Amino acid sequence: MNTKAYAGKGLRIDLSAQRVTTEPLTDQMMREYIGGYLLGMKILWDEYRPEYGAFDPRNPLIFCTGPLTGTRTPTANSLTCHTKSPIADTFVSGRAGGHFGPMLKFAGYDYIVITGRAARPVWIWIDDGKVEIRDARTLWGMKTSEADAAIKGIVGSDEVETLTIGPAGEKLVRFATANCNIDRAFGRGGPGAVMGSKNLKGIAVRGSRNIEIADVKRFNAAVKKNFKELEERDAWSWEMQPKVGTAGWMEAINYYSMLPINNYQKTYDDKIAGGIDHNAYLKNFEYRKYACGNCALSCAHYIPTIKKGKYAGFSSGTLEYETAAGLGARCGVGDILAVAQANAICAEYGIDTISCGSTIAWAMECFERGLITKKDTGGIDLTFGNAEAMVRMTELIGEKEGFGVILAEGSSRASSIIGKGSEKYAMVVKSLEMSGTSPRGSKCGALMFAINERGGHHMDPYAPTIEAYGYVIAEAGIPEALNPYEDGKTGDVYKLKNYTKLADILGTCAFAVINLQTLPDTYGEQFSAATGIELKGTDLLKYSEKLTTLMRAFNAREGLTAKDDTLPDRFTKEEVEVRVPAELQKWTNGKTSIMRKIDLQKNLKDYYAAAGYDMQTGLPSYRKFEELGLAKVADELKAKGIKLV
Amino acid sequence: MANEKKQNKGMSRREFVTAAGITAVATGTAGALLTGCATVQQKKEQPGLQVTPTYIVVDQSLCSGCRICEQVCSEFHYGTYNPELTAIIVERDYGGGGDWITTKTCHQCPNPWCMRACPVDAIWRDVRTGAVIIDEKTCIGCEKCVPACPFGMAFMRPDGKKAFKCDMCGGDPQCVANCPMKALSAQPLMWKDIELLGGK
Repeated sequence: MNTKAYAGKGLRIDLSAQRVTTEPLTDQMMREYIGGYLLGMKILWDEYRPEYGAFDPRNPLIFCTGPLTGTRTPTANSLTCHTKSPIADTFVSGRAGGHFGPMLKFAGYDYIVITGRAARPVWIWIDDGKVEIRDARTLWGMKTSEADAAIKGIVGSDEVETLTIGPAGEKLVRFATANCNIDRAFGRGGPGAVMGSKNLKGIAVRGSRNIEIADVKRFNAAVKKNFKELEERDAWSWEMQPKVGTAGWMEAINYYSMLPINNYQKTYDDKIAGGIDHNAYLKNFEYRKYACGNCALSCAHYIPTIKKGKYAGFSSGTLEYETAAGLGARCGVGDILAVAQANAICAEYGIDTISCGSTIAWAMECFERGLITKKDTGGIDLTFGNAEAMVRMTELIGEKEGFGVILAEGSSRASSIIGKGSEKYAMVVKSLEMSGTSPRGSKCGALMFAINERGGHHMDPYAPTIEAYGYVIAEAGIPEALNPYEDGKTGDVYKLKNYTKLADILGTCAFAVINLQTLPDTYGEQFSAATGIELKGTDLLKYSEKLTTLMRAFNAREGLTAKDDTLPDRFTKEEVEVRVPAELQKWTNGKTSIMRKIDLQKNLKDYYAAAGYDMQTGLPSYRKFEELGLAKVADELKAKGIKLV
Repeated sequence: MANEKKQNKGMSRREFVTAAGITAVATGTAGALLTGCATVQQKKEQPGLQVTPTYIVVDQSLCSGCRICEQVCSEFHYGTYNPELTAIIVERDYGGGGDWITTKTCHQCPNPWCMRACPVDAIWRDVRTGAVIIDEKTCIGCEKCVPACPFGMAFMRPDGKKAFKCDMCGGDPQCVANCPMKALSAQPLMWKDIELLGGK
């Protein structure tokens, strides 16, 4: 095998049979599926069947790295996770940073596929090609940090990377996370619950093998060029200007009227945002920065034990913008200490802060509207802005106790249990809770939720960048910023999507493309130099299209159609005030405030046209499938009775 | 928990060298001599230091633990990426009962323990850069320098055949040049008797 940069091997673990096997990652697979999301989705497509369901032992749990993972490319530290989602109608396809991904490659594996269900709790120990399935009965019930420390104690080394679940994953909370290095998590869609259903507490890895590079000199030059490009734009320091990681964006997102205040009832609130933004952060916390592997951004933080105030006595990992928006803004809580404590609880129990905040916010709205009462909640006064109630509910979800049992099902299922019309307050797309960007301030932001193959998620792509924030990425085919308030003309979102998916395939962080704007050709050069497979930026963008198509095909096989590319009625029917920031007033004839609801159909039409999707199935044509090398996938869809144009 | 962890010595060279320190583990295996990747330009008989020796100083408060220094070190010396093939070590423990990132570098000691422990005189001070270097042609892979270093900064390659340590990249330390947090810098050794004790 001549291809470099890959480890060249995959690991297969059948927990039912307690069997570990390895398989080669063939040269053909590398050329056709590159790695990361695309390779993971390919394995998931092949090995998952719609009749299984998420908690079936046959549902494969896949962890993948990309070809650049573990090399010196900026932010090359990805580990991706793929499985059928227990909460969404779709799949889990997420990435986590930290140091696990590179270490897995140093141990000699490009990916892991885990199937079956262990008879009793186990954890997996991967030590440089030696793989053991070990007893985890003593670890069961531990929080993520305790499990991490216990595993490191058992193997007698701090130099291992761990991936663990907390009590929430064990108890099958549907939005449980799997955590790398304790607080870098596979957050969305509930992979932690899938691990829990397999009786798998965690994975630890240590490696000392080489990641070979095809042409070191050329690769070194390409990496240097990449760093230089970023430095010239001052991307590293500019993007995280307030120096508190993503939490620094709170002020800006409130300014652009994209905060999900009180379960998306309002789009901005200076008081709430002021309580959880970077000023509050800097005032309340002493923190230490830390970085994922190979990244100069270091957006992650560690907040040491809080010594003063009502919430004293806890320490916390990174407080991300999405966490502050989910547990803070969405629940009307403008108290950063309460949010940080809930965040710490989420990290320790292994809960997705976005889905958790969203579900609590749904319950708060139902409570205020009288659909649920104190009788249901066990005496907790679930009103918007009640910080203590929010923290308490987070704990109950983690423990799966009291009202937390219902909320642990996620807002979509919980609203069907409660009924009484509470469904319309569940802010979900494809049953997955939407993340913390209110769609009214940005039409592309609205579209990104609707078209997302995973469900209500904000990363495929993070579309407000190309209009409200005014990023222009000519090399990716986006020559000018759009009007965020006039529906239609959203075709550029498809280009942005292909562009941002590059990172997911190659094994770098999404920030490398969304924020730092590493260009396709810069990636092409690094990929070619590292692997020896010659591909240009434009070729790589084809693989992004392939990935999107494969994701859509997976959903079509699950029975989803274009009808599922939708938004909750709140955004399409209720008009809500949007404050127009000064630099965007050119679009509103100088008006400082407008009333907005989304004409989603108009946006969808333009997007579908740009992507070449059919308006009924939401799928590209058979020819497109063929062109992307997915003819077999198309044939399988056809055999299921899905018409392809 | 931290104590428990420390008691149980793992197989990783980092744990080994960190904790061993004093315990000498002599295996005395004479490995086959390898060629290539040579980092030594100077002959040991050359007298007199030509520069003020420097060593790499870490501002721990700036370090973010991204491990780019390790990657660069591995790439520069061996043309590959391997966390066990670097002479700069980022030790870290995120969150689990404490948060620390400690980046460790070779002190290029005035009177190096590794040099004194070497039975075949494979370790000497490079007069051009002031760095204490291991000549891999002479090294027999006996591992005596590894436990001899009180800072745990002499290592064996994963194949166990040769020892290696920080050689200051021949005068232009790549970790310093590539540290994105500017946490690393090359500072002069503040020992007056450097020539007396170090030069060979």
